Amino acid sequence: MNGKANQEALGEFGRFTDPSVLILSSLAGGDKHGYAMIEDIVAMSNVHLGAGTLYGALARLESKGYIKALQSADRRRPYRLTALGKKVLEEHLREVQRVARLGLERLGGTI
Amino acid sequence: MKHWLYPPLVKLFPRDWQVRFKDEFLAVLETQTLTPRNIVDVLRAAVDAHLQPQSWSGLSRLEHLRNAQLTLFWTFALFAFAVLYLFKQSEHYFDALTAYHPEIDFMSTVVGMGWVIACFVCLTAIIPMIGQGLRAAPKQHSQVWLYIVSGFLLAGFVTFTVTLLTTFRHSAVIPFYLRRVWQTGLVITVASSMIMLTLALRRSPVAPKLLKRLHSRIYFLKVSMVALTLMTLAWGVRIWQVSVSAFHTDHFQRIFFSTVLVMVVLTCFSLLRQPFGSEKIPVRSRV
Repeated sequence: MNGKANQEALGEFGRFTDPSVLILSSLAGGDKHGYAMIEDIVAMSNVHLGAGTLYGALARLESKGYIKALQSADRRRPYRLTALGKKVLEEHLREVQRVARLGLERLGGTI
Repeated sequence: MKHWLYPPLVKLFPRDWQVRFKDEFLAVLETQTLTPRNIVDVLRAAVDAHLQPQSWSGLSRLEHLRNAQLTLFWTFALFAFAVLYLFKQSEHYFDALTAYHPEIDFMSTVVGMGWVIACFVCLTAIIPMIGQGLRAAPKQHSQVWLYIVSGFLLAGFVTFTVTLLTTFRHSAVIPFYLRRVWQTGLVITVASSMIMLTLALRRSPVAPKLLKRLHSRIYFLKVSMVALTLMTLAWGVRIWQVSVSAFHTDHFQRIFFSTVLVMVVLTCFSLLRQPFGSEKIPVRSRV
């Protein structure tokens, strides 16, 4: 899968694209279950994901193979970022960074 | 914190979704305060899960093809039967109804035109699947039935359309301009079906881009499908309501119109469950 395809891959999630990026970014810091992800995302970006949005995005990410569910002893199932997920996230963030840099340059600012 | 409303909310999700996510979803839900915003969030997710089952179900491509083809086949069959039976067997009753209730006549025209468009959209959506199914069948000898289902689907739709045209050719039930719409729709549908099937089967380089673009458009037509479903339901309910009072002495008519209404409702919901525009509807690059 090339870079452009990776960006399109996340773009196909529609309204779940932004939550998916936040979830992948959260999982890049280590395995987490749903509640831990919500907390981490609030700390990271001040965005509070609802449970419905979280699981809508998690289900899509899992079916695409970007994350995988791990075994759990209780009801809280942890998730792990896969190699493909890492690659997709990296491509997406590079593209965002490129656009942000370009925008700031045009505004006369710096990153 | 636990709340009595959480389990009923989770029950709104598809059964398969619940099997996979129910426990962990409830665990997360119970950490959140019950607010209108959170309830709306869960409701939206439930609607998404119903309308796009392929986005979370992890069905294989062939399973997805089988489900979609079978559902669409029966959808067309049910709707064709309901509409044909309604107009053919009780044309004079229908005329009598519309004479006293012009709103039914108007609604019939609007709903009829809506279904022409919907049928075209459905067929456009199914064509890539049929193409993929036909191509996959030789590699999966156990899936030879795909040939049969695909054949039935195409034959069913063509028969449905041709029969409707034949039925209404000399009828005053459908006005002249609407017959023209049907005829144009038939020509466009058959021609585009043949072109797209040929493209898919011949692995033309045009096909993947074309199909992907079509599906991205069809995705947004879901909203139209919801509107059409509601309109059809309103139409069916109104006919049922009026006919039951108009033919209150005729038990056959009451049973007949009630049956048609049930079939229309079933058809609408069956069609709404179709995964139009899914990212998992296979295009050539994913084969």
